Amino acid sequence: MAIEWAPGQRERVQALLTRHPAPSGRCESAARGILPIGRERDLNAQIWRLDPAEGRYVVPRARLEFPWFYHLTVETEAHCVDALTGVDGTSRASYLDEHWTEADAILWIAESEG
Amino acid sequence: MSPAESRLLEFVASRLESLLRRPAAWGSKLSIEEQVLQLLELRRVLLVPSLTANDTHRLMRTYTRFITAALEDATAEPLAIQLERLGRGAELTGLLAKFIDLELAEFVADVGLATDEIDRTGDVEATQRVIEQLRKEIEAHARRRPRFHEAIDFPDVKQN
Repeated sequence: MAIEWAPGQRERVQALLTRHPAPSGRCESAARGILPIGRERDLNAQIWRLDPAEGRYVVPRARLEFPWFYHLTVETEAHCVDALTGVDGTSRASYLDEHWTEADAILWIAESEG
Repeated sequence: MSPAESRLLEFVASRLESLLRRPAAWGSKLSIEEQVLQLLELRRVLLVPSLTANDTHRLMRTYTRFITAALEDATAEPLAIQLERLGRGAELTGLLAKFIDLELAEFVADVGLATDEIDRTGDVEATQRVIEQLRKEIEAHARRRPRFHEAIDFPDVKQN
């Protein structure tokens, strides 16, 4: 089930994801932009940093030209939203399996907002 | 520190120095970056044997913070790739050299704080290892520093 963004919210999130698509590697810029919009719906919205628990890189299922050392995603209303999920988001419960390989070797770390 | 550990640390320092001094001989820029990171992981484990394989995570957090501070609009990609994209590939070894020094400094601070990852009973030994390593690093820096010109040896004033 997708996040039911209010009119305006969806367009703002989509604009951020268009400006910072997955191949750009700019997950941090996207996440910092999406967080305040996510907070409009869920006061507990937060940014998670995904680090490899083993290995050097986190490896999304989407093919990338260059590897990522880490990835940032925004959780709001029990969904993750980032360039991998698109504007609709993916439920937190299925996010890892749906979008990542080596999903059992990924650490979730609550990211500060600084 | 056992002779074998000491030899390994010397190997790490020597290999790091060679990677930075003669990068073309060690492969692509991305390969250089990965080799440096792996050597730094080995250095951390040698300096504090109680550290686990999870230490990789701490090193990489420090490293990605360093990249973010070094590059405006940094991404999650390796430094070598970002620099190439910016047309600044030649800066890689200089930035890696800075990180090698920074990482050791942060590591010293970590040992001083005795985090959960470092058994308190091992603190003294760990600190001794780090101090010994620091001494070697300082000696290596001194060797790399351009030498001052030798004092000019003026000939004796000729006696008429």
